[in-house]
Amino acid sequence: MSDRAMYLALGLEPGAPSAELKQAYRNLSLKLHPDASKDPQTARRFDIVAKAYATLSIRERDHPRAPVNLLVEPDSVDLFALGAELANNPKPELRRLAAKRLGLSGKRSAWVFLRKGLYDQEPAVVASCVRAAAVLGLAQGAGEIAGAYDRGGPELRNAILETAKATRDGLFSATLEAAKSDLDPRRRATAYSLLQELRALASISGQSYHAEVS
Amino acid sequence: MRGVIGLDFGTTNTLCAWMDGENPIIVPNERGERATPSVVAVSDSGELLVGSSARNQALADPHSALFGVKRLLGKSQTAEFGGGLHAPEDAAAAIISKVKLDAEHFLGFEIDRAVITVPARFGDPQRRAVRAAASRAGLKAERIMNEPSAAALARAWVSAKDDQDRLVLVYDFGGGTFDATVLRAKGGSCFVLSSEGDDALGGMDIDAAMYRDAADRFKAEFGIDPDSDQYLSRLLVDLCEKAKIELSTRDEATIAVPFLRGPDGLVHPSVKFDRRRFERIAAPFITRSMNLVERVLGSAGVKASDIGALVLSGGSSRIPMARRLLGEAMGREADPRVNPDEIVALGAAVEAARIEGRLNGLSFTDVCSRTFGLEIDNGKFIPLIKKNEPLPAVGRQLFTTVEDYQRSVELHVIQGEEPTAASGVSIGRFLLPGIRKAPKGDPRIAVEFTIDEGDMLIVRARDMDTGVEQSIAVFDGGLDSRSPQDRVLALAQIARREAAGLTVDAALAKELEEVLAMVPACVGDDQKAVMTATLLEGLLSELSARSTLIDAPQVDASELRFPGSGMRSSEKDLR
Repeated sequence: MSDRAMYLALGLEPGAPSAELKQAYRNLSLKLHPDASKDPQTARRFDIVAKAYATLSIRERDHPRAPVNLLVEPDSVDLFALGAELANNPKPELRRLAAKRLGLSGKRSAWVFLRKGLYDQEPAVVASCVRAAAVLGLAQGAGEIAGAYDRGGPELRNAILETAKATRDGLFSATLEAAKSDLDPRRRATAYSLLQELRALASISGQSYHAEVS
Repeated sequence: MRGVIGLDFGTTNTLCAWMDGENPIIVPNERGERATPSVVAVSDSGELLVGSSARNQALADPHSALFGVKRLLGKSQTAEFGGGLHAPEDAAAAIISKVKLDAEHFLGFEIDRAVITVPARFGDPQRRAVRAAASRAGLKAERIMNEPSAAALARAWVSAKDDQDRLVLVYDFGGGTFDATVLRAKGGSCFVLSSEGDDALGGMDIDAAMYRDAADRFKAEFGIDPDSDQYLSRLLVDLCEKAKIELSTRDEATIAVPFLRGPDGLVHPSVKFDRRRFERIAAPFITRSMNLVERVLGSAGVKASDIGALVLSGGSSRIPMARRLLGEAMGREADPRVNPDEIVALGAAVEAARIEGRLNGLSFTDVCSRTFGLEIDNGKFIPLIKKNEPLPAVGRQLFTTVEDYQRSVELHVIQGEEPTAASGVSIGRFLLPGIRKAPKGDPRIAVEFTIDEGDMLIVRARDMDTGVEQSIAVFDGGLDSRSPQDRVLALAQIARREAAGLTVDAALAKELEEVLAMVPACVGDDQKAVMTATLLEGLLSELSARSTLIDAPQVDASELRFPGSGMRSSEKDLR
């Protein structure tokens, strides 16, 4: 896995500060760890997350970067304030930040705000909302994310596919299905190969994905 | 003529009711019984038996019969009886089908639709299983209604069409379970604020305790041990149940089993239960039920004096001690006019008559206050659920593609009253990819809109050929005219019951717990109630996505049967 992919696997932006790394890992392991979820799909996802975190955190230990203030206090998140920020702040950078923090909150009710962010004018904000969905470990939203992909330009499409590839989360199966008809051959190829992988996984675990892959 | 019936599909008995003019009546089965036992069995010759015949067959061969299929619905894939494995839905369908046939015979016309009641605590998979069972029995479940809501509706109807806005407490003490529910009711429309129950507290448990007492006395006084003889013990349990029923109207009852072989020859044991002895035995169970009543008042944030009507349901609610204690706790008498065994079925019949459109005198406000539908290719708005449809509402339609070899469609969900999409409000969009490669107009895309009592709008789209499916669950708070406090209670109640039927991971369970813990603090704080409701909405849509996932492989094709299935709808040009 590339560096970039490892950050994305954790639902983070590449180069995210180590505090976020910990926060994302903590949130995801609460949802994906085999002790928490009986679903065999999530076990696979957990492997990817755990490997990425192990590698990145060892690097943090050996080559510490300047500390950044923890963006989210784990138990004092005001989802409403963040939701309002994501919806109304005129600065795209701050909207993007709000989406990220909603994801790092670990609260799946944050989706009521994130789903609105999928219609943001700024592709970077939409991509941030998609990453946040991945870090939340959602069961809902597959069709909505596929819709965002369908509406999006090349930049957004690439960003969503990249997250799909890094996380290999079933949440993206509908997006990949849509990407099979993409005009860009590179994205089409990515979609085909990832779908094949997900399908193989599905047949191992005997479970259906969010959209049955046909 | 075709009619809609009310069905109380119970754990022990199934009742059918019909609105005869102004009065809901119980429809007897072909044996003249007012209740058909919810039992299926396979006879020695391989015939499928239902009701009393099945129960009799069970006496001869216990393994041939299935009791309490309701408990398996939506929870278990198979049920074993009669030497084979069956789907619980099929066993339930056999019972429903028999009751439907008997009702058609009695009423003299065809029945194709029904209002079916389920416990308020039933989650979505269980409700779907009930729907599937009904459809296999040839009945469309026009509405799946909460049992306490049906009881409250029956009360309102017989109480001179009581149209007041009031809080109703339903005390439902059935054969196998106990439920205490607080509802907000106004005339014919009501919704559950909170429900507390115990699946292991029912009349059967009182029977078992009486049996224990009687068996001990058989042993001490006559030297006979019923525990060592399974036929005698079953007989004795039956006699205890009869004695219990007897004691609801008389002060004593006697259980006698003559001609038994004791250690010193033939004996004719008999034991007497007087009121005091019975109450000593029943007291722990009734106390437990009273504790649940207290708890449900607490979780609904109301006091006993706020309750404006008290409704009894279930046979065990006839026990005088239960009535007395409940009366003392609530400071009021229960409405005595309705038979507690039949009140749920009668309420379902009132609801059925409303669906048939022949009900006057009660107001129903739980209707969809706006129109929801889809935007199609040319910017037109196609409504699927119309304003003023009673909740829960369902709308289905078949769509197709507008371009050759189009592989995906975007579903744009809109709320609006005008025929153009642009004048409506966008509720959400999602993509259905993976459509069969075909010339335009050929693919069949089934779209289903449902709005439940919690006002969650779920839109599902499915390619009928490839089976790919996508869905979205959204809320529109404005849809609901309830006060923020009532709304947050109703949503919390639904979230609790939906989570109970699912395996959720630790993080989701914790988050749900945290949000539910915020609910009591919403009393008297509208803003807090609105915010808590929003969080509950997010969790409910997540839970709904999870239950869809579990159900996806076993979606019943007939559930997606559209009006005119197999042909294309005229509105087929979804982009």
